[in-house]
Amino acid sequence: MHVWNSLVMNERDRIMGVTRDDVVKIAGLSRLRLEEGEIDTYMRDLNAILRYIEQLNTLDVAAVQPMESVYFSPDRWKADIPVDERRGTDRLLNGPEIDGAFFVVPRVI
Amino acid sequence: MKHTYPSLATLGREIKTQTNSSAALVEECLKQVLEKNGPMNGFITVCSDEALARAEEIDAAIAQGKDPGSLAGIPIAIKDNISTKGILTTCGSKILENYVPIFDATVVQKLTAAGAIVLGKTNMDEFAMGSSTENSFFGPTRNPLDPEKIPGGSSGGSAAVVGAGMAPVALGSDTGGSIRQPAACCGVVGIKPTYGRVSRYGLVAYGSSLDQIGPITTSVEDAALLLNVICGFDEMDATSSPEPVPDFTATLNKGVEGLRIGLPREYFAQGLDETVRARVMEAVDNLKAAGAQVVDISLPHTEYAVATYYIIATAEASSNLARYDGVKFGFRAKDVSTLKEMYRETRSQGFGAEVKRRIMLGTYVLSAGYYDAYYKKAQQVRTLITEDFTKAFSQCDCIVGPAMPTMPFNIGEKANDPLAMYLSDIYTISLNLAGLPGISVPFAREGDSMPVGVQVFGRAFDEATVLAVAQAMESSANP
Repeated sequence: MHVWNSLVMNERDRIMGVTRDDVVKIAGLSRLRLEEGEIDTYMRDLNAILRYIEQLNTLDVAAVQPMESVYFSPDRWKADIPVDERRGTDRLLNGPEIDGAFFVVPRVI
Repeated sequence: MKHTYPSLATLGREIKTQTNSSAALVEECLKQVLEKNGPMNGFITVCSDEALARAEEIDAAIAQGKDPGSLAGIPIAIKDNISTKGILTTCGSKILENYVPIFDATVVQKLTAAGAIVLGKTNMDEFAMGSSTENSFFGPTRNPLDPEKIPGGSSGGSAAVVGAGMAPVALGSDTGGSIRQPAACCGVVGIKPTYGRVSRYGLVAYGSSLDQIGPITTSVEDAALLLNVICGFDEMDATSSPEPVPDFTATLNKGVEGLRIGLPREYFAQGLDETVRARVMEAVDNLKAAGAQVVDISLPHTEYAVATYYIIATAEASSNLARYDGVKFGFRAKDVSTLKEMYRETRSQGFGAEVKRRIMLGTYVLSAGYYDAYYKKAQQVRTLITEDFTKAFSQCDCIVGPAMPTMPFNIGEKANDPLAMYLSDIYTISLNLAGLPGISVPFAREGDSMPVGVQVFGRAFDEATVLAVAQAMESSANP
């Protein structure tokens, strides 16, 4: 939780957009490693986009319902029947490293 | 030299009556590919042997008196983010450079069941993130009308191969304009159906509440024929609509007499190229001459659409693209010692710059303390944009406007300015946010080097009106 909470900034920072440290944190959460030279480029790009996005603040949306789905039809229940759509061991065919019926990853414990 | 094919209806009739053969048609496509694909880079994968073998099977079936379906023997190019069993599906990304799906997308199942033949997989901006097809790991695609220009994006490969005559028809996908904008750039027809019309099962997800598959063709009639095959409810897609699918060809040629065409004043404001404006207005004049009534309408929240889109689409993308971790498929980084390092290195080496930028933006707008300020606010503005359309459609039956604010720009021109690139989608994005159907049709005056893409928007599930208006415009154009 520490990482998430540390992303919460005060109002002054919000107006200023993301800092270099923020970019490093966001990249970490996104499981991305940035080269030292890339950090400033992404900071500049993200801040340009965030400044552009700020225009939404000129709209008063306090009474507007958020649109969570664009789906036009009523929700429906699917029959609760298990289906194995990716049959058998085919799903292993694209595994970068497999052992029998398992995907192999670096040791966790 | 541009190569053109007869209409799908004609090709289908010729193949079924054996005055032409599917094998000859596929061979013609492959000849065009051999000649043009090197410099144009529209295809990432060409299925030469498989397509020819399938064509011969279909020809043989017809010779035996069987009916292999409404698209019997027609070769089709498929965007490389649509799953094709046993055929490389890269999404234009290094991270999927070796990914061979074990299943067909529903659209591919439907097309092959109707007798169509997968000719190959087309180039695209990585994970459909881009407006120029410059963001592909496999290099940029060039515009068939002018190789210095972008073909549009992200379905630039599909639009280019149809525009160049390497394939008679193609499928693309449209999250913020990715079918209509490249169709406009390459002088072809591209339609984004209503959200839920076409199953997304097997479409590699980018922005799941926006993505929709659709045809890219050289005529409105061909687009209608393809829609007839690919639309319809699918149990495998929870957002697939049970709405009945009409025969989209039945209402073609019905004309526009008495139809109310809305012209949104915001789409003709500052920033619109004068040539684009002139051609769109000529197309509208032709509709008027054909009996349509033109109505001045307003879509007042248009200017907020790009900002709204880049919050919603990137938020969805940051979640959707979390699956690329090097564990079960795709590229995996070498020389890593921990699981976390494997995730990080795989994604850092596997994704390109634009994808990383959007993943990070999406992660940021969804993060604690920012969710309400960005994501929730974008959802609220999405409501306003959708309400704009609802109000507009109480005054008109369809909406006409430009597909792009400018003519296609040069390759490399906007490569270092992501925001400028995003703004080229200003006229296409609102439609995805509202989930409505829209088409881009080429319109030119004699002597124009490139046609302009004119868009027609319709009400939800009213592709029939969109197609009818588009066809009336097409028949009055001069491409």
